[in-house]
Amino acid sequence: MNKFLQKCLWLLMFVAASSNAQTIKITGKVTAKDDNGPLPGVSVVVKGTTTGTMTNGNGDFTITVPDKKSILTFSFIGYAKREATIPANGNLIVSLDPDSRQLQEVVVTTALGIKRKAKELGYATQSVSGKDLTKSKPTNLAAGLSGKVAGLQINQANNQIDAGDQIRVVLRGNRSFVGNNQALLVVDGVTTDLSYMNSINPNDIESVNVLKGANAAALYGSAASNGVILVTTKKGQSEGGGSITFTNTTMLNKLSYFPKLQNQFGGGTDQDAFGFPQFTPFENQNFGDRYDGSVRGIGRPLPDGSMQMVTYSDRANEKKNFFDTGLDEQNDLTYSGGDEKGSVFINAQRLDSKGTTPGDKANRTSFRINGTRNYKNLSANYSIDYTQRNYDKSYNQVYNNVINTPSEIPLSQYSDLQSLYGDPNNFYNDYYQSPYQGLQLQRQNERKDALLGNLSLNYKVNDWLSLLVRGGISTSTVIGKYTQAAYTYSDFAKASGKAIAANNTQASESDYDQFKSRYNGDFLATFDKKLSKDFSLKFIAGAQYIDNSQQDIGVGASTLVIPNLYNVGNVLGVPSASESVLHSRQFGVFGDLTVGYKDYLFLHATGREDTDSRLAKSNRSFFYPSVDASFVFTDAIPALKNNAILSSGKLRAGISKVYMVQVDPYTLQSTFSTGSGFPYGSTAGFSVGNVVYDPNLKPEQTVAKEIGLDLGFLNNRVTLETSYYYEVTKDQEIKTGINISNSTGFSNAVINTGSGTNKGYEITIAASPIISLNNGFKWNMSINFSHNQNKATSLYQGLNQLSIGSSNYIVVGESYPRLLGTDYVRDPQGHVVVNSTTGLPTVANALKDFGQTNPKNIIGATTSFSFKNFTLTGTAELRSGAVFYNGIASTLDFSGVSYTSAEGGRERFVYPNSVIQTSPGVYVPNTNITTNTGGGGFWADGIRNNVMSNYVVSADYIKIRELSLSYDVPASFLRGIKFVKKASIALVGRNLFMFRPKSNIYTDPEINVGTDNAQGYNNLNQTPPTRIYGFTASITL
Amino acid sequence: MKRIFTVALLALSLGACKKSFDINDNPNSSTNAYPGLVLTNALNTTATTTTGSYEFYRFASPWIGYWNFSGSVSGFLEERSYNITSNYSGATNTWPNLYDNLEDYYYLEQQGKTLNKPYFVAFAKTIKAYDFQYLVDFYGNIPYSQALQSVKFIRPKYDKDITVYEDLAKQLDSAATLLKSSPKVASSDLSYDIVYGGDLTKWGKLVNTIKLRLLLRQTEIPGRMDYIKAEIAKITANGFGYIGAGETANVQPGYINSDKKQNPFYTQFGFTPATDKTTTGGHQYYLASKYSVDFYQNNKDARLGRFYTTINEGKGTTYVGRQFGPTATINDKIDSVSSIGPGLVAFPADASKPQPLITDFESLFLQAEAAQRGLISGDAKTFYQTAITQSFIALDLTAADAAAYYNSQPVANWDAPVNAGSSLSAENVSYDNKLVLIIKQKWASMNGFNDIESWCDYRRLGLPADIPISNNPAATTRKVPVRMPYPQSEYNYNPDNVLAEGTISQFTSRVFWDVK
Repeated sequence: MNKFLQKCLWLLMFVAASSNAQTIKITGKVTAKDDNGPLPGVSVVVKGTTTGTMTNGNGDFTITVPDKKSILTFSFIGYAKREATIPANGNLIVSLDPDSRQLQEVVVTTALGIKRKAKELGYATQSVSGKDLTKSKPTNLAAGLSGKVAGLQINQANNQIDAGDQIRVVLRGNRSFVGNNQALLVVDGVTTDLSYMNSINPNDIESVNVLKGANAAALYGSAASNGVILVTTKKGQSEGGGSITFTNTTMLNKLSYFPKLQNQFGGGTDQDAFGFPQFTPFENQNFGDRYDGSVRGIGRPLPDGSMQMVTYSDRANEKKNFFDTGLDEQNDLTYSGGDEKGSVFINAQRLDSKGTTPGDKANRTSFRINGTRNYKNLSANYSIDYTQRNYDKSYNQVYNNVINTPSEIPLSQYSDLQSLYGDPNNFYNDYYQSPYQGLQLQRQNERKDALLGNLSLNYKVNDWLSLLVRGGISTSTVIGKYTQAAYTYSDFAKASGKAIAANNTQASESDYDQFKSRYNGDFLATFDKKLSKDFSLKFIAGAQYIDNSQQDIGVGASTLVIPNLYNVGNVLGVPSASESVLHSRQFGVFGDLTVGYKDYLFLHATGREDTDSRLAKSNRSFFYPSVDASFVFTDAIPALKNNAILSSGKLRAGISKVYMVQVDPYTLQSTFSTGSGFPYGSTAGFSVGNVVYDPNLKPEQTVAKEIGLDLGFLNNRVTLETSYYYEVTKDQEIKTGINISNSTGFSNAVINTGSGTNKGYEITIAASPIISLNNGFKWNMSINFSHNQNKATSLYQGLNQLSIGSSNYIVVGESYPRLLGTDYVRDPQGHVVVNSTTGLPTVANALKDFGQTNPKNIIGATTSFSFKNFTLTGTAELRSGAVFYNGIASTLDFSGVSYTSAEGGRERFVYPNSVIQTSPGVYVPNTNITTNTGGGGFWADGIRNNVMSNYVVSADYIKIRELSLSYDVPASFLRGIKFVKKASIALVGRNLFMFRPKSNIYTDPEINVGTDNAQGYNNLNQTPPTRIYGFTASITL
Repeated sequence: MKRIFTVALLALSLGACKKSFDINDNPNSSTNAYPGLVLTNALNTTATTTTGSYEFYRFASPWIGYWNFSGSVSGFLEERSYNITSNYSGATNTWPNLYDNLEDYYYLEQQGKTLNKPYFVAFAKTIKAYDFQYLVDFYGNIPYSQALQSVKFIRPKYDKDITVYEDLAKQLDSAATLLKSSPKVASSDLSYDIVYGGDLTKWGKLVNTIKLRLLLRQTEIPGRMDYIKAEIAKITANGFGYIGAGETANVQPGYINSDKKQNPFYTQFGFTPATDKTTTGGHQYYLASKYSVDFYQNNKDARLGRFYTTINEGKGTTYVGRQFGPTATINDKIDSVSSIGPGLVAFPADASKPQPLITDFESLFLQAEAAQRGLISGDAKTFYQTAITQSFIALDLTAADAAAYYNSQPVANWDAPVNAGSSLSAENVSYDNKLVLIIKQKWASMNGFNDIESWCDYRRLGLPADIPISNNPAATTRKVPVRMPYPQSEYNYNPDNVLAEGTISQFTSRVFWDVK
């Protein structure tokens, strides 16, 4: 074991060959014996020295040795170590035997950076290498992880320029009703805000290890029940004296999956006396008459009496063409190097983005320095990462405006606001400003700075005791400004009756400023001792201190004196101001004990006592234990050893208890808020706050049980990992409080509220390779399947449902959260009951339960084909078992641009499958009573567009998340260019295809109003999903 | 090296010392407040959520013939067709607004007892009655006995509307008693009362006026007269009397023409703080109704030009109202129809005017009705004519204008009340002509001051009988709704109790005092 660890250290910290006059240069190639494929990354070391190198992508290596008698050792994870002597011709071909037993020696980074052997682990973890993460060159980590980890669900809620900040990351479904269910993010041992996922440069990542359950994460304390995403960034490596890599990635983003729209009827809202739709030249609704190709005037007459003339026909592409093709250009420059005393890794990255919304742009600049340094028994690791992001975007709801535009309107002709028809005074629409004007008038500028630093010192006191102290800091600053420019309409426009011109647009501005910091201090003492021939013991004692603080300040001027001088001091009247400060501390002491028996049975127990400043003195300290066991039966049972088929097998089980404080600081005591409008001059006024608190709030408790079976077949070419988990969460903490009847005098209550269970299983099957041919063709495949089912078992005081926002509810006895909403009055068979006079349905008071908003099943599949220097990889993901509500469709019906609203030709119709009540409880099928209108009166006036059941559809989908085709430039070609060590080029695409049920004619079900627990609810504030494709080129010097 | 670790350990354990966890005192919001400060905000909120709210006009104004919808905006089908549901914002907003406001008075009442300041207790009881009355008038049976008590009753039960009303009468009696026996308001507390500046006598009048309003609501309940008379006897006994001319219960925290600090009615239906006259959404959406424009015009009522502008926001020369009901067309626009007038929202002066909770003229009309019914002493005619005078004055007209009106216009003539309209109500109930006259003139005065009162009078009496009913094609029940449905939030968060109230119909589920 120790030897292997040494090898790993070797791998991590390579040593440059010191050349002198007598040296001999050796070149060679390392292949795998099982498939004869080249083995990249194999450590090649001159025995007895610190001289070494690694094989490149083709398995080739070059090394200088002191003399002919030198012996080279070759080692690589999963293969038996091998030694070779120097051949006379200086060219060495080596093939390595796979070693199934060595796979068990794989070292996994677990909680608090503790490295443990995979075979010891009694819980589920899954690693994704940096290389696998970045195959499709995502600009943020979350996109790279999608579909690659069983039980991990990543939702991209929006696709605007700052989309990377709008992600939801959940492991193993929801436990907490309203509290945080998102995974904890730990970068190089430092816990950081999940939003940092969008700051970190994916190219800096060495590997990501996902600790899925509470057992794995118990040492992290409060935040652990949601699992942990452990990111390890790259350390410097030497490939013969350090290397410099330059990578350029250029990606195009194109909006895809627009909702299906009608193309038959143009602008209008009124009907004539006979009920026929009438065209209105300046209308924003689409209830005009049918397109007939005639030439018609649109808008109002201009000062010269003329009108813009267009053919009255569909111009569907105008809406798509409004949006730009987004562009992400990412340039990376990396230096990696090191020697026996340490290593250094430096990366600088610049990402420039142009959004799909015209005029939106963003950039990200980041610098990272990671280093290691060794002095005798002391080793030091440090990293500093600084990221600055800048956004310049419009906050105008431009998508809403564009998509609802009547189809005869030649939208793209208005892009120039100085042009005749683009001029806001002359713009055709009476009620809405031109979207181009909206983008110009309403802007948001934001700068985000994030700094992450950590230093850890590891001191090896003797061969069984080592001490680690680590300090980490993570801070972020956000500074932003919203501006609304003034616009004054011409007197002619005002007098024309143009509704929007009645009032000039006033200039306003607001500023916001956020500072967040998090300090971590860890201390760990590790005792690692072989007690006897059969027993080993590892004990870790530690302490952790966390200090979190946040300050938000906002000021605003609702009217500016001098238009377009966006300074709060330029306010007309009194500026608005707000401030919020949050500060909390946590301290934990913990112990972690592992006892091993004969290297095949491991018992592991942890205990942690936390103190959290957010709770009252009496509740603030709490202890939680965990126990798990791992049994490697292929090592334990002699009959199973060296089996040709089953190469490894491990059974594991664990149980843990974790407490979590979900609430913000200061949520134990009711407050008084400044009354609306106050102070009026010197008159102050306060109001009893709307939230009631429980001063004795308890931490939320989760007890998690987990069992798993991990098998390896055919020399671990095929692996199967399975887990089943069952979690009970009680004393749920509702961060913003549960909604309560306003008649209590309050609207929300922050109280421990009920309990829920969460269970599921995960299966990962990986084959590497499935097929491997002698000509170099190789096919790898990995499939993960996860099924999750939770259930709310109780709420507060016999309540049976609880709203958590966006029409999501917790319903006792059901999975959560669920989408509940309005539906029509129906007969017992479910037919819609319509009025016998109007033919219209009525809305039922009770809410209908449409189903859960999180998928029950997620299947992720990653496959790669490689042949010679080409590699084709792809990742697909399937999700099923959830529903979602399309608020966008309600708006589209309202405006009459929806496909559905034109299906009946705007004629009166018999409501499908409807019945009429003839006497109480007696219903007869409705065959002839038509709705009193089939135009805007039906689609836009509430009876249709206010009823949720009309817009709830299945959220199932299959997505091809990633596709990439890469080509590594052959070494033989590079040999000519001496200074180039490696070069590769790849074509990459993300979210290229999505398959969804026919009923979903709207959008990607991942699109959501927010990233909290309430999912499955969208509106037109989100832009449609994007297809991303481009290329990346990398060269290493 | 060991020293480093010792230091590190020490630092960690220092950090963990118990005191460093006592950092949970709220630096953002106060956790206690002097009840006077709560009173100030509560009074302003009462104004903002009742007579100064959007909700008090959004449906009542068209239903009762004052305002109508502009065609420049879609929607309003719910109001036009009377097809309102538990999600209709006219129904969903008033509930939380008033209960939230009531919680402040609940706190004031408790604190007033604790601090032994009976006037705070009396103020709280008074406006609690005012708020709860509107909750009953909107919704009928409501949570009352278990309401406002935080999580003690997380799902408060509903009490019968009549029980609530009767208890409110008792609470008002108790408020009057407290006011009688209370010491003078401490000088340091005077400024918290942004209605009467600590004048307990005027508060007594307010108490009595609210109670009189409660009692008059119940006049049509068969066999209820004895109760009403007994309760009025208690009012008379306390000696405060009722709000008289010039004693309007005005809320004035110091409104100014600045964002969020304007008079609340002006904020909703007037203009933004911008220096160039910029209309608010409410001002754009609501235009004059034909029924009322015709009424003021035909009767040469000087208030016409105060309640409404001429067309095109005062730039035209004629007054035009539109018929309520049909789906508005694009021609129903501010440029061709009168809009809300300068008597209600004068730009920019009215941004800083006080917001009345109960106007003096409403009180005088109530007294006129009570006197006419023989419930109180005093001359009904005097009350009536003073009421009209005060209505004119509230619109910046003069007493002379008023006198000219009620002396020369048959429609306002006390001595020939037959001209005020048919004595038959909308429901074919026959009324004393004088009552018809009083209610008609009350209707003509309440426009834009408190449209809910006119809606309540219409529900109670069916007067004015000729209020136009919507002929919108979607209005299948051609009848003004008699209540608001319970808000959807109750079906979500207090389902058992609200469902026990049965299916609610806005046309038939009447409040107890509505017995037509």
